[in-house]
Amino acid sequence: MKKILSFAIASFICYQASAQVTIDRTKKPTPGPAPIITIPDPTTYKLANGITLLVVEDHKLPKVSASLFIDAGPITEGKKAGVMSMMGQMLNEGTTSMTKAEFDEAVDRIGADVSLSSSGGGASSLTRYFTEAFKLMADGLKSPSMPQESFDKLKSQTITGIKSDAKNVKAVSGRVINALSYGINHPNGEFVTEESINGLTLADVKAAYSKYVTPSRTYLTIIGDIKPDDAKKLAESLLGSWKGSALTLPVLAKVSNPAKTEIDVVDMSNAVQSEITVSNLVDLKMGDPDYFAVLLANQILGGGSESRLFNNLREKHGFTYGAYSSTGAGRYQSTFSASASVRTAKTDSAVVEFINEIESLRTTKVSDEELATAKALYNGSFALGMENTARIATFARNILINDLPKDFYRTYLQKINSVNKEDIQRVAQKYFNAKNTRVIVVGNTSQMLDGLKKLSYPVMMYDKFAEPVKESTAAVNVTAPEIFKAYVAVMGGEAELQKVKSIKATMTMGMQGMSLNASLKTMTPNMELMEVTMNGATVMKNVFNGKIGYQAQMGNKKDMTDEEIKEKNVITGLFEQLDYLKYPAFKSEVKGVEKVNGSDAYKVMVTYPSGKVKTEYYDVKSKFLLRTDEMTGGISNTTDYSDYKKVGNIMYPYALTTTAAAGGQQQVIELKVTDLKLNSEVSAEDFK
Amino acid sequence: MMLNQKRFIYAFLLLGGISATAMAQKVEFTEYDLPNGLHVVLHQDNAAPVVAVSVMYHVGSKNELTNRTGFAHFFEHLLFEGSENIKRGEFMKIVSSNGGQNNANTTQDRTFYYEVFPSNQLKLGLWLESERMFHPVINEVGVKTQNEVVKEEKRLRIDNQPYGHFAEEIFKRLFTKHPYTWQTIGSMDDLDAAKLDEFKAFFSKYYVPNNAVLSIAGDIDVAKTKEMVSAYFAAVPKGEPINYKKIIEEPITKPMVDTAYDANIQLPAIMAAYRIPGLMDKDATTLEMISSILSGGASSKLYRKMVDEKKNALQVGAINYVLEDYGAYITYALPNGETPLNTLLADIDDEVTKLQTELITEEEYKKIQNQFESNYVTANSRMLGVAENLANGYTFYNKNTGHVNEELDEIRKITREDIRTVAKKYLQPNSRLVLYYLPKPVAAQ
Repeated sequence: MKKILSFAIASFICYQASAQVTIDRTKKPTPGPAPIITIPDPTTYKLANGITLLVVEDHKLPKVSASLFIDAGPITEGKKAGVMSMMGQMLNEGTTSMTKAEFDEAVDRIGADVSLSSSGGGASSLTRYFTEAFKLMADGLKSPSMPQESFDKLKSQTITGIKSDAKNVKAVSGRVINALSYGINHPNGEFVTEESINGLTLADVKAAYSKYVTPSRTYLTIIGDIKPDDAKKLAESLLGSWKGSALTLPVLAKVSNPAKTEIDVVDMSNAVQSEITVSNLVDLKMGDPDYFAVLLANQILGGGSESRLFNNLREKHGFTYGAYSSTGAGRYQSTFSASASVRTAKTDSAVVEFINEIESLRTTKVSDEELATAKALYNGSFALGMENTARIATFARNILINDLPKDFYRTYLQKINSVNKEDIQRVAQKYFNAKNTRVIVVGNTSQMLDGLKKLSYPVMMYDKFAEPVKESTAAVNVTAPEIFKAYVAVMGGEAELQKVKSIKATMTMGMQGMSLNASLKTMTPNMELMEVTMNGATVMKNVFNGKIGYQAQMGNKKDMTDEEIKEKNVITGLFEQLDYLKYPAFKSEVKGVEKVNGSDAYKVMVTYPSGKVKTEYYDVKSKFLLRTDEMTGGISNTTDYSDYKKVGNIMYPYALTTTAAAGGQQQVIELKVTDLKLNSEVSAEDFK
Repeated sequence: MMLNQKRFIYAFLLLGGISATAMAQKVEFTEYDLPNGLHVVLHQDNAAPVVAVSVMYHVGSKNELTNRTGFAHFFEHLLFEGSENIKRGEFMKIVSSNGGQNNANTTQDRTFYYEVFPSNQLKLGLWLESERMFHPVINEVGVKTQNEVVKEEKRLRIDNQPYGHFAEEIFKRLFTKHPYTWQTIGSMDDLDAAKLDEFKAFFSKYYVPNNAVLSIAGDIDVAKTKEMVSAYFAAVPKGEPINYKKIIEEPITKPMVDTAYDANIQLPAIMAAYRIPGLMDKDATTLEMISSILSGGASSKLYRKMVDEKKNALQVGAINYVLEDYGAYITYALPNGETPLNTLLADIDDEVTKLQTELITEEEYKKIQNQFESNYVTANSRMLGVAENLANGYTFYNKNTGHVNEELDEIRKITREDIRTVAKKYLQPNSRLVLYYLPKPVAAQ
């Protein structure tokens, strides 16, 4: 039977109002007694195959929602990073009895929402269609069709997504924070790469499916306009016979925080702000008596726009639009972190303020007002959250999963309200580190690294994949001309390269899921034509005839500026490295060794006679050019070169990927050469 | 850079005003007038300890003078500046530090202010809203500050927003005399030119109890709430009656074809816009259903044909932009690749013509009914939604506060034949605007 239990924070509920209400509108009204928050117990069943069913009856609206959660715990994917996410997406690609289109149509027809993921799924609909909606969800879980075609589509979409995030400072920061905090072999620290996705097969996805999509450790919550008994019958009829492997929660080795505070820096030259995160691991279970004090301590430090970090870094110093902190808790280690996107020039000052604020919370007591405001906010948002019935089921599930006392949420606000100032200081000392924490900074190091080094912490450099980088050029015993010469040699040698007077490359171009045709023609000394077509019609054309040039796109034509022409004119052949070697007006400098798509590469900065700076990366082993990086008209362009193949007597990259980024937006263009002609099919006429 | 598809939808959502809402179950309420004319609506639901306190003023951009556009939206900002008893900048802080949430929004027809609080803070909500109505501070400092904020908002939401000017470009052509010809954001020149006295006069004319609905929904005791409402709002003086006269537009008798340019886009769009009746008209609801048939979800007619099968459109849609006096029905598409805009227009028109000549299938009809019902149920699941829907009924449907309870029946009464008739009546090529919405040429920027 459904049991309704309630508790009162205060013994009476009544407004302080008499028949004749008089008010003093010069003062803010005082609140009435805290409302009674009723948290009913869901009706709980255990199905024979292991599924725990939680039903919350609520007939207010003619609607029912189901949510299924498979509690597998953190999953270590290793080399197959990304397989769980791919598997989850594959569950939405049709079932053994319905194609994806049929499945979507069946969902739309009843006006329902149905979705599936690697850790379960959800279905919600009007009461009278709930059986159908639930069946669709159950079918998706139990018998996905997993077609190869869908797998290939999702794989290519995922890779495009990874590429488009390559210059996303926030995305890189998120990855590096976890990788450094937990280590890359920990399920929270490992990350998806292009390589790991490329390595995945449909068989991997199917293996992950049979291991992790199972009734074992599964919680099914059904909420809304349904009788518990009917919910049980429905669950039994559609999921009762579902079988699968048995899950056990993984045991993870404990990870330590750094012994002393360090600053870990990732260089991203396209960053316009520095992403600063101060982070340490915490061991805090939700059932720990410290839990509530930690929530309030975090609220006071950085929970919102009333909090200390916001007031300091934004209001007082104007370093940022917002600075916040957050703290995790649960069965496994999680993190406390404080972060902000900060003006690059103020990076070091902001780091100092972050550490000062954490230190101050540890060493001095908070004010009565701060504590009262934090409590009011928790009381308010807890009450507001109760408008969502699903929360009742979430509460019940959390209690089971985290092994919490049954009255955990019924006494939640009591416990919040009994926290005192001493508790705040004590938990700050225990959970929020200042002297043994990690400060992760992702940004443009050329404008902030010197400042960070002046602070009293060791500074370590990492690349965008959390690999340590050798920062000094001392470790690299090679000069820029030597690198260029080696490149020229592997490309076929100077003599052969000089013989190439024109190149015509026919290519396919992938952009935002569209496939277009592109053709690139170049001719000595520096003539260039790039044309992109779709169904035979020109979409884009870039041309330079040695004197003038223009760009035409969607019917708009833009002539090259004098400056752009000047820049083109410093190049005298089809392989600019020959110019670098020949003309002293080009300055170049080796900046160290960095990873480019998994390979070690020399980073060479080339300064053109015009003053323009280009960064080029040459493979340490193969000597080929792997990447170029440059800024043109406020747009940052990164091009990756791969798949070098022999044409005539020279080598040429058959795959190019360009990422253009400006103003927080980016676009990835993939080019694949399908045909290449040297010294034929190109004439000066083409460049008009 | 290519277009971010979601942005286009976003641009429409931002400017979309009121949409029809209803629910499958009855929403109970109490309503009455205070002596000063304030209409009060109370909905009691003690399921969760939450209360939404809202005030809907029946003033929007259509009440503005032609040389002072943007006033209503400007007041949405100005009325957060403080009052005789609330210091400047304190309004929002009081809400958040007491565990609440608040905001406001403006359309061509009304302005809506609200707070959502734990139910023991009902008084606080009443105090904030009554202070705002009774004696807000309207001074040079506030006007100057908010003038900057509004300009920033216009840059962010309209000027820098791809397709952000689409509504402006359509409405200024579809309406020639009616104030719907300008947008709620208004003209920055008008705002710059306005004197403090003009703002004060606009306030005392429109932000008066007799032009407002105080709608409260949630964990309340009706009798006690009535006492508190009276204590906080009875002192607010009544304003002059408002005499709004709808300006009648002459029917559109011949097709209009025009071009508009947007500097923020790379991909052009083709739009067709029809003038339609206001939301009181039953046909407005039928047009809402037509939108669902044409472009609601992955299995809708236009989406399936143009995006999925022919793949000649990146995006396609049919929007029922319905307002109090009139509305605009807009179909649009963005090309995939080099598809000519006229091909897209023809593809859309084909589907519209089918709706005008053939009945939709029973199955399609059923699907639309199901989708509408499901949306309506969800629309009233939160107290803020209930408060707004009740206020809408009183403000726009002849003081029929319970209109929300009748909408689903209205939908069910609309037949497949009605859909055909309404499509034929309003979606006529010879009384529409065809707008080529093109990237602004670089040279012209």
